[in-house]
Amino acid sequence: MLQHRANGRWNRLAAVLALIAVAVVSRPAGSAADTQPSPWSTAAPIATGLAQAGLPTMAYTRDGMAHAVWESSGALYYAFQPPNRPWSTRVRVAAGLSPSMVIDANSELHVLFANQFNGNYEIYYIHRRGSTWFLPINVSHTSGRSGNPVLTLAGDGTLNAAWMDNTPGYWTIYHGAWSGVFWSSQPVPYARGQVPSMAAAPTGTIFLAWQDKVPTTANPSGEYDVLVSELTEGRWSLPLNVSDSPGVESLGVSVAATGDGVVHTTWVDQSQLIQYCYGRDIYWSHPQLVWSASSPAHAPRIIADAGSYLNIAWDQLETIWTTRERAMPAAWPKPDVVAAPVGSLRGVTMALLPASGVTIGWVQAVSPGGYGLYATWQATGLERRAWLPLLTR
Amino acid sequence: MKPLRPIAGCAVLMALALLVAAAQKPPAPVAAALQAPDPTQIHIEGELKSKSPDLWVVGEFSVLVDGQTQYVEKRGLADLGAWLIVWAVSDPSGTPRAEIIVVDRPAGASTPIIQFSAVLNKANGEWWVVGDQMVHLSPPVLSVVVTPTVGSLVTVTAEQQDSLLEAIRIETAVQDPSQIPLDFEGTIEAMELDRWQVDGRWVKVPPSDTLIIGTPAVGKHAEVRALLQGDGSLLAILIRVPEKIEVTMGTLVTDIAQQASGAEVWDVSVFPDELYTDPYSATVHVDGDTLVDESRAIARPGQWADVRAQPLNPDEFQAEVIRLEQTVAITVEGNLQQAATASGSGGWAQVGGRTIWFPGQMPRSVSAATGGQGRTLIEGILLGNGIVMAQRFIPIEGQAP
Repeated sequence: MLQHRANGRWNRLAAVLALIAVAVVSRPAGSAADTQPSPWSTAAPIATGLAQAGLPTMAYTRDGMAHAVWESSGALYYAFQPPNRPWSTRVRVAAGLSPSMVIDANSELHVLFANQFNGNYEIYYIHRRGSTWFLPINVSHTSGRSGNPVLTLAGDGTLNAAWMDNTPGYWTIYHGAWSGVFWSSQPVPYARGQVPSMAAAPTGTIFLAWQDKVPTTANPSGEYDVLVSELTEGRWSLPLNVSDSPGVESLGVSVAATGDGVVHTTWVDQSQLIQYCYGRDIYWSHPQLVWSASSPAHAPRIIADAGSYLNIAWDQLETIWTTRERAMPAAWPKPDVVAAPVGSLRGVTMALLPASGVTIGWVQAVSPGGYGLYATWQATGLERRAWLPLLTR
Repeated sequence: MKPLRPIAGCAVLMALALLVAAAQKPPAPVAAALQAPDPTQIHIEGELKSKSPDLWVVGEFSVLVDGQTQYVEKRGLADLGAWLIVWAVSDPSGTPRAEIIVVDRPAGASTPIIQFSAVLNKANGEWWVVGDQMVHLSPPVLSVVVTPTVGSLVTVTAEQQDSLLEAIRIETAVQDPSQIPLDFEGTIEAMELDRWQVDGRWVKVPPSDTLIIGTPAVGKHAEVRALLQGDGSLLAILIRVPEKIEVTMGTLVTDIAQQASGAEVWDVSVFPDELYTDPYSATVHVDGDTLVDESRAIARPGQWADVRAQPLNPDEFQAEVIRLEQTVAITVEGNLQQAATASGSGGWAQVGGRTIWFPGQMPRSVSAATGGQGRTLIEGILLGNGIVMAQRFIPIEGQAP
C-alpha cells in the first residue's frame, strides 16, 4: 500500500515536471522546418473612406483582439477587431498626430501622440482601461516643439517614451519615463537629431536610435546617419554612428531587441537600399544589405518575435514588402510583396500576433478623400510544442 | 502492480533536460559577432577647454587630432571656450581620435540650454535635487514660476556648465500629484451659465477659476485644460479658443527658397481632399520651429509633402509639421475616362483604376488625340494621395477611337 502511494506521488511529480517543461519549452531556435510561415492573408480593411489618414500603430491584447490607432486630419482614431470578427467602427479618441501604442500585460492600451495645445506642440499620453479612454496628460513639458513620439514597455513593465524636441534651438532627442503618476523627461545626452525609434531588452536596457546629419568639410550641412544610444542603469551611452555612410543619406531607422539583449536596426540608404545591423554596447556589426529595391523604398520597420526571428517591412509607395529571417543572419531572403499595387501605400506598422505571427498594417490612398487602413497577417508556426516522453511499461 | 519509479524517473530526467534546454545561453554567433568592435564613430560635444597640437579637451573628453581631422568652422573658430561637436572613432591608444570637429557656438556665446522635468526631491538653499540631478540656483538670474514644494513635478531650464546645471528658470508643472491637468480639445457644443460641453464632455467653467482666452461660442473649436474633481466632474482651469484652426494638406513641393534669416519659403501645389478638385498654388513658410520630418525623404522640389499648418491667407500657410515623401515614377495603362475639371488648370481622368491629373494644357492634347476615351498609356509620378500626375500620354494604336 505504501509502495503504491509512493509510486503515485512519483507519477504525479513526474507529470507536473513534464507539464512545466512542456509549458516553458518552445520549438528549438533554428529549426527551420518547424517555423515555415503560412502565406500572408488577403489584406483586410480596418477603416476606409477617410479624408486623410497616416501613421497607424497596431498591437494585440492576449485575448487575440487587434487594436489600431491612427491619425486623420489632426485627430486620432481607434478601432479594434475581436478574433475572427470584423473591425469595429472607428472612434475619435483625441486631437493629435503621430500616435505610438503599446499594450501591457493587463491588456491596457497606452498611446503617446503629439498635439498643439495653447500654442505649443507637446507630447501627450492617453490610455484605455476596459473600454474607457482616459483624457490626455502632458508628457513633454518643454517650451519648444515636440513631435514624433515613440513608446515602449520595458521588461519591468514601465513605460518609456522618446520624441524629438527643439527646445535648445535645434532638434534633439528626449527620453521620458512614466512613474505611474508623472511623466519625467530629459534630453538624451549629445543626442541631436530627429525621428527616434526605441526598443527595450528583457535585460532592462532601453535602446534608442535616430537620424542626424553628420557634416564634413565638403558638405557642412551634412548627410543623415543613423545613431544609437542605450540606457543602462540610469546612464545613456555616447551616441554611436552605426550607419557611418559618408555621402549617403541614411533615413528612417527602426529598432527591435531580441531576448539575448541584442538590438537590431534597419534603415534605408540612398532611398533604395534597405540596411540592417545589430549590436549592443560598443559592439556593432557592419551594415548588411537586406534588399536593393528597384524603386524608392521608405521607412522599414523591424519587429522581433519570441523565437528571435526578425521581420522587416517597408513600402515602396506602390507596394509593401517584407522579409523574415533569424536574428543576425548570414543573408536576408528575397522579400515578399504583401499588398497589391493600388494607389499609394505607406505608413507601414507591424505587430506580433499573440499566437505567434506578424501583422503588417499600412495606409492606402487611392485618391483625395479615398484613404483607408489595411492589414495583413502571417502565422509563423511558432506555437509552443509539447515533446512528451513516450511512457511504456 | 509493477513499480513505476523507473519510468517516472525517466520522465523527471526528460523534464529536467527540457528545462535546461529552455534556459540555454544565446546562440554562439551572438557572442562571436559581438566580440570584435569596429571603430564606430561616436558623437561627443562640449566646451573646448584646452588644445595642443595632437590632443584637445572637449567637455569631459580628451580627443586626438591629426592631419586627417576635418574642421567645420562656419559658425565660428575653434577657439578655447567654443562649443564643439566632435565625431570621433576609437584609437588604439584608448583616446578617441577626432574625424570631424564642428564649431557649434563660438567662444563667448552661451552654452546650449537644456530643459527637463522631474520630481523635486530636495530643496536646500541654492542646491536642489530634481529627479536625480543636482541643480544650482543663482537667484539674480533665476525665475521661479509658482514656488514648488518637494514632491511636485518641476520643469527646469538650465545652462550646462561642465557637469553643473545652472538653473535659469524653474516652473512647477504639476503641484499636486493627485491633480494632474488634463488637456483636450474639440468643438464647443453647448454653453450654459457655469458649464460647457466640449468634445462631448461637460466641464465646469466657474468665472473665478477658469482663464478664458479668445472669444468662445457654440460651434467654435476650444482647447480645455481641466482638473478631475473628486466627484468625477471636470473643472476647467484654462479654455483657449484659437482664432485660426490648423489644416492638413497634401501638397507637391515645386520650389524651396532660402531666406536670409534661415527660414524657407516653399511653393507648393495643394491637392484638396475632394475628388476631381483641381490643385492650387500656395506658399508655405517653414522656420526653425517647423518639424520637417525627413525620415522618408529629403526636402527638395518634386517631393510630396503632407503639411500641417496654420492658414495665414487662403493661399499662404505657416507650417507646423511637414512629412516628406518621395514620389515614384509610374506607368499606367487602361481605358481612358476623362472627367470634368473645375478650374481649367488641368484635367482629371481615370485610367486603369487610377486617378490621373493632367496638368496645364495636357487635357486638350489628350482629348484631341483620344477623343476622351480609348486605351492609353500614361507615364507620370505617383503622389502621396494616390493620384498619378501625368507627364506623358500615349494612345495605344488601334485602340483609340
